[in-house]
Amino acid sequence: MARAMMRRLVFGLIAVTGVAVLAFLLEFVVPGDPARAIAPRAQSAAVLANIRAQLHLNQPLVVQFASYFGNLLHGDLGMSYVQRQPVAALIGPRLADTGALALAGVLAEVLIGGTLGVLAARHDRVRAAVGAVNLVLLAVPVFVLGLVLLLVFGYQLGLAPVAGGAGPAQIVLPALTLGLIGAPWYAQIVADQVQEALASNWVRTAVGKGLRDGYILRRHVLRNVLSPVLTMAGMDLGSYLSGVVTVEVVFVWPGIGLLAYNALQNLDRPVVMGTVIVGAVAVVAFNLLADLARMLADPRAREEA
Amino acid sequence: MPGDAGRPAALMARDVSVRYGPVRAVREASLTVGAGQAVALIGETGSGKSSLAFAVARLLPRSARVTGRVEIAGTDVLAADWRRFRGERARLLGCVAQDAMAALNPVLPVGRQVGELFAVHAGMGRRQAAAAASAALASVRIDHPEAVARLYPHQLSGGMRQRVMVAMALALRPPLVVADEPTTALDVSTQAEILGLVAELRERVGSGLLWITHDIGVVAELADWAAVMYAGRIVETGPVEAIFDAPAHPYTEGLLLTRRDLRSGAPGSPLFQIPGAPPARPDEAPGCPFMPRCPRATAVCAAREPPLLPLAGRGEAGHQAACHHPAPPGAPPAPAPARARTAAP
Amino acid sequence: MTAPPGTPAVIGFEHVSKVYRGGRVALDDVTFSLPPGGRLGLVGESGSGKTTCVRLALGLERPSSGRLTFRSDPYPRGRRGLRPLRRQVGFVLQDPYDSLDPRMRLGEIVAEPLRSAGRAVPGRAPGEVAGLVAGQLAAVGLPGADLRAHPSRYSGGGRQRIAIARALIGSPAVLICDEPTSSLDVSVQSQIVNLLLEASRERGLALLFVSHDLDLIGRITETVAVMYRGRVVEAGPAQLVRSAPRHPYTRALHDAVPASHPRERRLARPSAGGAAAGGALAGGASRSGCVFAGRCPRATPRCHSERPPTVREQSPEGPRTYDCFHPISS
Repeated sequence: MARAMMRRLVFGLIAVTGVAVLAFLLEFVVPGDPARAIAPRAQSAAVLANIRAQLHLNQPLVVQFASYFGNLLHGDLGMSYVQRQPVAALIGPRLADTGALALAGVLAEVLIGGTLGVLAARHDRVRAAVGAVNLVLLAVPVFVLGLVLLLVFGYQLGLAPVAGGAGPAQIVLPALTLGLIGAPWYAQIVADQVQEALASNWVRTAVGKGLRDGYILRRHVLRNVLSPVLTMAGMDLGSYLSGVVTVEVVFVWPGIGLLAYNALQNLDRPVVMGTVIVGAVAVVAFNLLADLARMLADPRAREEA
Repeated sequence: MPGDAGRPAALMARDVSVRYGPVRAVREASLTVGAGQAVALIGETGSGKSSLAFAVARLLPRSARVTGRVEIAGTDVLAADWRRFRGERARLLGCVAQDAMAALNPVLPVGRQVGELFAVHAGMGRRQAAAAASAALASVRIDHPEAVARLYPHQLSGGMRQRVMVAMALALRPPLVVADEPTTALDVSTQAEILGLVAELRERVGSGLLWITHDIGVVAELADWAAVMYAGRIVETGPVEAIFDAPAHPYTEGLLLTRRDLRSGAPGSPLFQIPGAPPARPDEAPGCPFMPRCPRATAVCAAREPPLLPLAGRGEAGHQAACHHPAPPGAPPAPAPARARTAAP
Repeated sequence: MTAPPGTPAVIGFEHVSKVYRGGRVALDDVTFSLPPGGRLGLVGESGSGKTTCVRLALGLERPSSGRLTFRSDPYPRGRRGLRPLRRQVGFVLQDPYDSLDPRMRLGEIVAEPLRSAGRAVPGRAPGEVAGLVAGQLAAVGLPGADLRAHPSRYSGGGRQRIAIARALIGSPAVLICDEPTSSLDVSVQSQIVNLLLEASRERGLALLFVSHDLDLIGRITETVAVMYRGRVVEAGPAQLVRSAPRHPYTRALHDAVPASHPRERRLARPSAGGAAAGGALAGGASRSGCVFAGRCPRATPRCHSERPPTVREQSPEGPRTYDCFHPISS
């Protein structure tokens, strides 16, 4: 098991490096001059050249590449062009906020999706209704759903703050948005798995043992459903940590997504690179964690590894 | 080991029928398992033997419609309120499935799966239930029960898994155990171990046993009483010695001859075979469903389905057969002509 | 049906061993041969290596050491080299529900060996192939079968008939049967076995029949090899090995078969349950001693430390061999 995890860790490192290199090269393909973005009103070529020299943008690509990745090896993500602060200092606090949102969002989708899935698996009539709800949720774009929630719960009912910012009250609506968007996938997979389990011989054994339905569901069935849900939740957590741009923009949630969005608009290359790398690391790390959790939940997965 | 008179019958099934939509899988089957008695229910694929056994245990899917009357140790099973029956079920009967791998939860240690019976039905605490589970595993002769209790089903051999199933079935010492071909998937030497174990446990626990099988040899080994099913009906039933000594129904004769021929026929010579195949929808034709395969069939067999009746002039009480032309008592079973080429649709 | 002396065996295993990755020994120095038109039975329980023998004989795997011969030539290597061999070797496997492609039609399934044998089926008149297939299906007891039907229409026994038709259509020299009846009902088992016996007799087809059922093997084949944990522990004339086993394992296998009559019951006695579970857990028999030593009632310290040599013995029925220091005397 430890060896399998080590192998996955190595593959993960290779993946992160690949993503970082690709992102670095892509930034040079994207049209636009960071110097102009920093000083949009500067007229003289000398000023722009000066800015470029300060940012080492006048050096050959190979040199810039070497210096960036050299610094990266030392844990230095560089300085933001626009905000004149270390990228790490910009990302750090936002990572915590995005982490909170990602966690709340994944929790919401697992709870909503899991509940719908279990209900759908056990009651034929609910299954049709859940199918319809799934379809609607899958069709609605994220920003529309976010705005509708904001409109209904924020403005109309006044139940949630609309001002933006990070906090326990502000997290509810964006987390709910993430939860509702992700729930159909979980509902589908949980419904399928629970249905399969309920038709299995081992559930018949459990019924034969005179156990109550709720007990069988909690102690027997859900444990078997756990491992695919954990895999999905791990992947979601990783990808949300790399920034949930739309949701953060709609709710003005000061997370990585918002930072990346602004950095892209300003051609703030070090910040873009920083968010990409942090995102890639998050995806890899949470996939690893999900694998680990799956092995804890399912003895057969443990042995396969 | 005949049933003792003091206790109510472990199982009394009267006119049990099972329908899946329009298909009648079991038709008016009646069966009694005396207290502590072992009854073998013999039949091939599609004979309805598993449907009957699961109907008795009320373990059929909801799509199945069960009619008739079933009592386990005096408790009316089919009429009982579902919730109340659920609470009592584990005390009334234990079940052993054919495929223990599929019948055990793959992600729970086997000790927990045995222990929860004690936790739920005997109100034991976690530690107490674990100890009881280990004792139950030890009672089915599993060495190092505490260590085995921590293992998952896939980590055990087939024989060990089946022992775990037996331990669960007997945990609460129910008056009836229903076993659905529990040794079919096992190696012969493991089957022999399980048969020996079951015999020992029967003596110790005193449960009645309904053992479903297609293997005549297993019947010879462990049953006191046998019932042969064909096309959804019980076609012959009686004390096991009477059935083996003087089978009355040609299908029973065929099964016994097949077995005997396998043991003592000349090597390389054609095996004795019952020609043909069971009918796909036995309930649709008016006559005896075995008629197309029967060496003794006459016109009456095509016209009327024979009822299950006591055999006249036989010493053994309770020996019954559903045949218009039962073999006369004492006559050696006459082999049907073994046709080498027979179409099976 | 014994072949004239000097005829090379159809399939020969000479000191064949098979070790899988991770060091699991599936076969350990296995030797047997199947004469043309002969019938050889391999009997053993799960883990005995009988299925590995089948995979090797079908060319699906290669031995780790030893020699595998087909008509005294070594087995060819590679897909291309195996092609002519595949035409000569028909097979019927255990699970009738798994061994037929559910999406293929009956006509395609049965005609398959003709195709893969490299005989240009497309070159033949379509009617000719259909005629061959229909004739073969009739020969296995499925006359008038719809060639466009899918195998799902058929029961387990019907599917095994289809598998036999497929195996026979290329006129092979040998038929390998891996537990072809173990998932079938008893009444169907006889029908299928009779079909195989008949094909063997009428076509002079050699039969390699693998089963866990000593009775069944003894009824079908003239020679039997009893396998335990990757080794042949006893081999010889089937009747002799069954009625007067020398090796304690053969005896144990024989004794584990249920009785034919309630008066003869031996297994389901309270005292018989004394054997504790652990066949599988006890495992890990030392490879230096006898493979059966751990479970053998006759074992002595020597059996655990020393590999018993193969003893050869002549009998009126034919030669027999066994690997045991303490054979059961008849």
